[in-house]
Amino acid sequence: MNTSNSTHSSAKSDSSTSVEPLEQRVRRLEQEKVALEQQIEALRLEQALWNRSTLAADLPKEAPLDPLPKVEKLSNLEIARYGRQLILPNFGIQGQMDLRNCAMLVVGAGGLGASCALYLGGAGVGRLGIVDHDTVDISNLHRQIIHNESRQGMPKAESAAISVRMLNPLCQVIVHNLVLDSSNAQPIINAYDIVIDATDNAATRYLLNDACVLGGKPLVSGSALRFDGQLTTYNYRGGPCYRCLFPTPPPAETVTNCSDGGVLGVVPGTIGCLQALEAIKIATRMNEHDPPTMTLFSANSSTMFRTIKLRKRKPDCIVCGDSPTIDKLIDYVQFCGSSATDKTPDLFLIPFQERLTCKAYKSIYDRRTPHVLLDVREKVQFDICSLPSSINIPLKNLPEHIDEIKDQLGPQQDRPVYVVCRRGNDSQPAVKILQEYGITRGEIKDIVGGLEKWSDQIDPDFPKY
Amino acid sequence: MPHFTVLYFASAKDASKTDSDKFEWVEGITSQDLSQLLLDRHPALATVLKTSMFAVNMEYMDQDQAWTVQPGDEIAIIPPVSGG
Repeated sequence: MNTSNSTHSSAKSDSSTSVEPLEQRVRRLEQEKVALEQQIEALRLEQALWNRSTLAADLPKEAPLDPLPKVEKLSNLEIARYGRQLILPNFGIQGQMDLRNCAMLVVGAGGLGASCALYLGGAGVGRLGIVDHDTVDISNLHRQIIHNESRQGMPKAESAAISVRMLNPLCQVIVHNLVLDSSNAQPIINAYDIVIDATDNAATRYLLNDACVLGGKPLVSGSALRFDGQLTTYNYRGGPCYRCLFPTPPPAETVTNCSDGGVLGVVPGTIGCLQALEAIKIATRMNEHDPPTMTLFSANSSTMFRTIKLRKRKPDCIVCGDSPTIDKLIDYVQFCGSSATDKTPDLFLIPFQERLTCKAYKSIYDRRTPHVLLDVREKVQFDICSLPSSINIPLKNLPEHIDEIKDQLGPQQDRPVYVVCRRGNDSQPAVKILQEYGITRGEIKDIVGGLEKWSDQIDPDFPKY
Repeated sequence: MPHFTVLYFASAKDASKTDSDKFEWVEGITSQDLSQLLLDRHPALATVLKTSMFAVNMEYMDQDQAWTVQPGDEIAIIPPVSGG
């Protein structure tokens, strides 16, 4: 910097012409200061990864009662960050402002919420609420890419919030580390403009639907399982709500979760991206006159995407219809007959005393008592891991393969049959089936807790999946 | 002979063990007849059909109103998916 020269020239010029460039310089330096401060903030966030408690404590935890403060212009930092969106025709500065002044709530920080929350945060949504009650587990990470290995055991809502803040510190992230239910959902939902259903269970889907109808909020709903996904925006511009299309919840026993049915990670990731897209379109009123649709995604089909044209809301719908009978939130766990999580509940079909503990089976095995060990998991699971000398007949094929078991029962047809599965649920109906067929004179029992318990209690080297 | 096609999604695909079927079309198959035809071919669809949405040629069909199958129709059975 040539100080002597500038001092010399300013002394020569009159004051009105010398002030202006100095003021410009001050403004430039101020902007530079803000940019440097943001860099420092980002670096701090990164460092805080190794200090989870500090970062988590820093995050706002409650639904703020104050509405999101609206801004009337973007800062230079925002213009620099969102430049590639700002130059888009039909989006531009107005689209970016709409996002900046929008509060969105992502319910579920799992496979759908992971990609959705990251894209919404990155795109510049002003306030992003994230709801989840669960903690990060290693088996989530193949699809829930908003979390990472170092955050195992951390609440998912907090972990997701940290990732969004690291991507874009300009997005205000609110953590809702709770189970959403009829007692708390309405005020939380009312505090946001758009709700994204990225949940994993039927009960919470009906809860969100009703709360969004009652609160007048559009609901961008996504779901995914195995290789399939669905995407629909409900309760938006006269379109249907979830109940209009699915008035009856599916029977609990027909609902498969990702833990039991499996899911290819990129499938919820794809649907989550599309949910972010739909939410951005609603916030910016893009394509707002398009008729409502449901998009079906079939990852392993030659036609990966299909779009079903939907009708308007149903006049006789019990929540969004002309004379609704639901005017406040109900008990959705009872309504769906299934819990508000995607955890597989334990089944109690057979009294405990008539079953075998892992330890009891271990001693039978060690004593080499002749018996048949029947594994009723699907073949794809049996191929991952199995106990020595077990035979595999999946539960649903059991009646057709009874003879294969009889072949193993010895000359007197009196060997005991022990049934094992992944968690000790499917083994119970299997025992009932074998009893009905009366296949052995020996005892028929199943192993409590299945192979997961076996790994916990007997053999820590036995894999869990 | 004219036909119509049925596409199965999500749990309907699991229950029928296929992603699509072709059926011979005859005059006057109503939505109720269709459900029976599907059950005759795939008894395992019973519970799934009760909670599924139907679409004909990529358009939602209200199950409360009777409709008839036309030759060449592509009918989609869409059960709700809960997972995520």
